[in-house]
Amino acid sequence: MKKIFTITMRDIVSSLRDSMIIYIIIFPFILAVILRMMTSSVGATTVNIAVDNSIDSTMVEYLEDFGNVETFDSIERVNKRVNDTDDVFGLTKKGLTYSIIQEGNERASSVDLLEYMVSSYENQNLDLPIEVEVSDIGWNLSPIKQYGGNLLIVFISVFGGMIILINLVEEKQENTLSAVNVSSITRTQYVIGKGLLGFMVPIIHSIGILAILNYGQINYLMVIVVILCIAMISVLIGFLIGVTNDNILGAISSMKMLFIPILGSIFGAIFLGSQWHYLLYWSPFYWAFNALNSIILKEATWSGVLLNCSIIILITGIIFALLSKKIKRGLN
Amino acid sequence: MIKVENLFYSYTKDSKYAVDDVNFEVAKGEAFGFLGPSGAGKSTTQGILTGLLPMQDGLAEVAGYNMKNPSRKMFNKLGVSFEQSNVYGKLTALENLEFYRKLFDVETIEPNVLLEIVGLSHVANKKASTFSKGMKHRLTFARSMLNKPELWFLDEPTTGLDPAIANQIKDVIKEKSKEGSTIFLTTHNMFIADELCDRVGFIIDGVLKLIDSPRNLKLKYGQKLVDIEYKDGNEIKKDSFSLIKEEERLKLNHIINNYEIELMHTKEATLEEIFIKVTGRGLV
Amino acid sequence: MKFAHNFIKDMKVSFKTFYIYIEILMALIFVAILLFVVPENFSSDINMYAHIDSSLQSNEIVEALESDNSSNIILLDSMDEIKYMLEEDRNSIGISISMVDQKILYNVILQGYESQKYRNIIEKSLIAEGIKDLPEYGSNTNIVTLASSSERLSDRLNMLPIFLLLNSAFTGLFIVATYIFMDKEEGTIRAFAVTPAKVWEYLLSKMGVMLVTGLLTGLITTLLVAGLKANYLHLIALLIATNLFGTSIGLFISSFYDSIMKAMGAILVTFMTLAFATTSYFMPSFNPIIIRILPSYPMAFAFREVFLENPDIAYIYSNVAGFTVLAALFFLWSNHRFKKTLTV
Repeated sequence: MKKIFTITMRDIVSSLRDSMIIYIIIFPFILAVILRMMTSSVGATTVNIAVDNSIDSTMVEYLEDFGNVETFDSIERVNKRVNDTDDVFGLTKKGLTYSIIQEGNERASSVDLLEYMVSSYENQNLDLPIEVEVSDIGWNLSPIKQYGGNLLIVFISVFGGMIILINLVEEKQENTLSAVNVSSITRTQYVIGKGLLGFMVPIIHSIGILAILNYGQINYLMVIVVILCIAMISVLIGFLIGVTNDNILGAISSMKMLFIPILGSIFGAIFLGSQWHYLLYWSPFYWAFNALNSIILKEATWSGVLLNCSIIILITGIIFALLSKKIKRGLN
Repeated sequence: MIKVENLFYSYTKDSKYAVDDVNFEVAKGEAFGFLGPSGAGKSTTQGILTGLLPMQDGLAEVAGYNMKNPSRKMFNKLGVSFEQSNVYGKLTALENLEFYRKLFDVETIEPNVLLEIVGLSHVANKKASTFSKGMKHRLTFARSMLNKPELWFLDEPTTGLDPAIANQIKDVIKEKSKEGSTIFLTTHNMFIADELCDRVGFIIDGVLKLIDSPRNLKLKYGQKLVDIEYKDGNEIKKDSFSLIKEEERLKLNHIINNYEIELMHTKEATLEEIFIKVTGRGLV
Repeated sequence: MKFAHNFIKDMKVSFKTFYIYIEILMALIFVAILLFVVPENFSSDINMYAHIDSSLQSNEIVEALESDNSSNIILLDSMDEIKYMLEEDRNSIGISISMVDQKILYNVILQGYESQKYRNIIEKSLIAEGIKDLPEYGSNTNIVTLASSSERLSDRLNMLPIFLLLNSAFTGLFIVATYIFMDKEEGTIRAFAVTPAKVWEYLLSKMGVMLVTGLLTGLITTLLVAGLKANYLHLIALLIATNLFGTSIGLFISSFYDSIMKAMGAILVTFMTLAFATTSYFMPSFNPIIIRILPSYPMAFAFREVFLENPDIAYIYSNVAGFTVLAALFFLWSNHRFKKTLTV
């Protein structure tokens, strides 16, 4: 036990001396803060309107209830703004007629909405034959926050593996791995000692991210269980890349390649219809995302979480069985 | 060929100098040894003279170029062999030399010839990453000769090599020295300096303590001794005598005339012993 | 000439470290995911769960609700069912329509996370829908479209510019530091420093390797995903300019650090920051100034133009010119810094 701890401590100390590790530790929290700020401003994004001075101030005030209004002093500048890459509609008035200016590649429904707004303004005095009430069912978690935090956690679970990888490559470069090999520590102790960080870092990250994004009363114990499982795969990959590459160039580009299946399976889970989800069943990241999603939605049950976890462990086990020889050889 | 005046260098950019007010000159065609223990400031000085470290304070002129603002052209005249071998592991020995060769604007030596000289022709087409330490070192050494340097910087050229290879390398250095190359040899191995250099400088803690030829130093600081083993009856006796003191010379004569001599040799003070005498410090 | 030798040597090294193969493999994986996993167009329409009182003629109302094409209408039998479905599908809204005092009452049920502006829009658009058939209703708006031939890319094709941006354009941003520090580690940079070759020749050759890698991955991906539906002349011009820019930033960042570990942290942060532009790319109405000033923002949109039938040539080439100039400036600046620090 003491030896394992010694290995872990050496890695921590050496990691702290390089600022990359500090970035790796702190950066996810910064991302969480940015995500938190973005969820509110993305939620407030409806329609952007650029108006020229033919539109009077009461109309501008009226429009501001619905969207973001920018004012310009000439129609040319409005047109220029509309032509910018982002989605902005222009509005100008000639005589009694309003012209809505669009670039042409915007979503069709947005321009309809704006047309409704303008017409409603002009027809305010009509006796309405209808009445509209807007209420809600009290669900404050927006999809972007729900998925965003989850995505961040799964994505960042790789960082633990990355720290292992960096430490391993470094040991190889400095040739200290062979010094460890001739000491009395066993291979298992060494691997556990190195691997511990790969579990500790993602747990700290995920709890921090969930706290920053403030999902309320979620079951943190379940979160830790899921993270432990998904961290296994990153630790495994960290070891694999670490032992098969003796230069950092290969290591970093291999790690970069890992981003594709991770992001692929998560975006797949978000955007694909459920009938297509079987395409992602191979990916442990998909199952982790699923489990975390139910935890964030506060719908998770232990049996469900454990089922997801066993699938992750099964996949990891298969990968490990395929690669264990390679890793063992690399550690010599 | 090299002129250094009031050279200072500090890695921390304060008054903790790694090189502290160093002055010396190396003439064209001379072989100059720069001696000192690890961390004395040898490599720092060489770093400045080869442009690897920026000039901070003082004056340094190398092959006619001011090191404050050296031209890249200067390197056409220079050869540098590093203490730690640095070659592209992914490239073969030949590819390594071919590559560096093309970076010079002057006539260069055929890489195969150089590989022959350092005894690597049989592995010319093998990747350098498969080489042993000594082989990589020889490749680094061979590379420094590519451009037939007028001024040749050698940093510990034989350290860590087996004696046979070390001898080969020494022979190459002697040969080049004879041909007129200026040599700046950095080492903590006094025997090599003694063998190869016209003059040596002792540096310790960044300070250059003295410069002279090995011969002068030995004459000045060395004490000529004779070690002798002789038979006195059945007993073997050992003794040593100074050749300078009259009284001891007479004693030695007496022994030679009256006893059976088993072993006798003169012992000159080594540069190492002189170094310890001058600086009060060992060389490791 | 020395630059050329250096470049050839660097290409050899990068082929022998398998680095280029990894990049190509990665591009192929991306292509496979795009072609086999991502549907041509994913339906992003939200579901609208509706309950219509039996006293009303539901067909007409459904037709009216569907007219704006932005949602799928699903009819349910009661308010409770709507609430149940809303809890199941958090990306949906509900509506219950009934007659109260001779007036039609639209009761819109949202989730709760929607902003006030969004609520106002829903309310007003329903009102507009309700009044537009009244005889007194006067519509005096017309719609002017500036670009007569503007088009939208398929959702699959729309992802390609982001890959080109993050992977091909920013190849060097990510990797060039590794190359330099690998040379430092091997000590070969010192061997280089004592030859007459110049620092800029060394740096430029690294840029060349990054450019070849970026072009290769960019062209392979585009060829396989978009086929002939791309303008390769514009694409190559853009790839060159943006890749040079990315690498020059990578060089610039590296010049501040003495080991890959330290530099990598700063590079990751820069890379992720630049990647934020993708949010506005996919959501063009989300356009805070902080994202619009990122260099990656115009790059992403310029890459998109490459796939349009009538690309905005002025936009593409102002990007090409701008980023080439910036690349040159950052390159010179890095060169200046490296001259002092490369071998220290």
